[in-house]
Amino acid sequence: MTKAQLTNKIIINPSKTTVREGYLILKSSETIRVDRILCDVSLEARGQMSSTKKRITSFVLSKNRTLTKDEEYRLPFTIEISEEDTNTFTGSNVSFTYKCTVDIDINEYDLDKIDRSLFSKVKSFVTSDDSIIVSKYFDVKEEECDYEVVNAKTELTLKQSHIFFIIGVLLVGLIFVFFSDFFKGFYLLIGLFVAILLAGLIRNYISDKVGLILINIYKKDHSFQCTLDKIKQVNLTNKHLYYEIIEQVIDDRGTRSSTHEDVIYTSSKKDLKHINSEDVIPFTYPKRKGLHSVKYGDASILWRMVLSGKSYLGLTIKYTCDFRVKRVKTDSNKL
Amino acid sequence: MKDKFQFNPFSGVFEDDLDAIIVPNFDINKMILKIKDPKPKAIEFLGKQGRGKTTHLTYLHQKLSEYPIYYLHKSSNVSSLLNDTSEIVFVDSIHHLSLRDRIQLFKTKRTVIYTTHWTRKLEGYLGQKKIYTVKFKGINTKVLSSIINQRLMLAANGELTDQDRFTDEQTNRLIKKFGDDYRGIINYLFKEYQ
Repeated sequence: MTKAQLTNKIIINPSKTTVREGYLILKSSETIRVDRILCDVSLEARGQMSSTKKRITSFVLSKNRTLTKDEEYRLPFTIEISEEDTNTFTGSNVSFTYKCTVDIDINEYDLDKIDRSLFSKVKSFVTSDDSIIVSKYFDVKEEECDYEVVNAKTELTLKQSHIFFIIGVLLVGLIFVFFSDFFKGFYLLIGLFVAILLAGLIRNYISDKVGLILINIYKKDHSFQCTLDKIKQVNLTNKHLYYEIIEQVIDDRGTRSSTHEDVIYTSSKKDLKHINSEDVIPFTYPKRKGLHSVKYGDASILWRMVLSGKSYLGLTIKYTCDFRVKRVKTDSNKL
Repeated sequence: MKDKFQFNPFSGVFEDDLDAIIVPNFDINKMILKIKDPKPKAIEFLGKQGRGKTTHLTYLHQKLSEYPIYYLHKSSNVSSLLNDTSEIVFVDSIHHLSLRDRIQLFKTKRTVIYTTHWTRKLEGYLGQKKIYTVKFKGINTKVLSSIINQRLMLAANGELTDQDRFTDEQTNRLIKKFGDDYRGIINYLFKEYQ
């Protein structure tokens, strides 16, 4: 008996919206019966961390269908991606991609008719429960929605910086140089501990000197604005305010955790020299679409407001706070 | 190069794909028999960070998924582990338990399989458990080449050519640079393929 060769292909049409249309092409060289065809769409966040999957949608494409010998079938489908989900993205530490998986359940009496030898070559395979799995990665490159900031009143906090630790090490190093005969061996460990302690103390000292910085972030038409409370009292010179869009992954695999961040976009820097409290500082959104705030497992796209300035010690100090930005349909899209 | 792959071959692996990429450093069937054997014992996966302990623990647990596995972190609530009624448990990063909790765990469970940086023979002695140690140390060219090439095959769009695969010479260069730091090698290759 001739074995049936089942040709299968998933086609997904290009689109600039969050709606993707596509179809599954099926053609069999012998007549076979298919009990059910299930389509499953997921988002995969793969990177320098524990990769994660999110199911986007799942639906039955067809039921109890007979594939007549040599006849080509095109089974159409539509995939809708939520505004909350991301565009396809490739960063330094993580990639967000979409995968469409089709699960074809062949009728158990026809399963022996299928020529399985071809599947491995086209990355399809037969599972233990006798269904054929076909999959395809596809892009989502939505370019028509807007960004919208989520209003927030929050506090800017001093960014952790290695500079404090370096100063601590330098100070401890100087003490060691002066008293080198006394400090040896085990005392080096104590020195390291003291350096960490000093770093914390310097950080707290500067933070106390500069004072509390409150920021109000709110939407305004197709842009957003900020106000800073008591900005004149902030004890820094050459003050600038800007925002960054950051890809962040937390590598929690194994026994120790580490965080990797990379800046995707930096806004224009607003000089705060002539800015008073309650003065409005306007910001525009980036032209590039699809970089709204998202989080999938240990991978995120973050929006971060940064206030940078110089302290009287001459150190560049950064105060930061994360804020959320949504993807929303434009007015014309809503109609 | 990147066009040949559906995703970065050196990104974090989904648990479903572990079978396809792992090169076990012990006989999996013998290990399963040892775990199912009714004699009380503890099995420790011992080694420095990034040597594959957690990957092997997850892989082994997939074969014995009827028993619970706990991935412990700094903020983990350990009471669910200590109160778990299963007589066999898998624990990743056992150092997040206090000494007292580790002894209690050894005393109350028939078999504990765990990952650790340092041997827990003291707790084993106090918890009256014989400890079997599987060391995660060292790496050889053939094993690393297999691991890398299996990852490449899993991520590939189609068939790979010899040029796409890693030769022993290329693998040796990685070993020279990173030693047995498997995680370091994978992270380095991730950047190369991203």
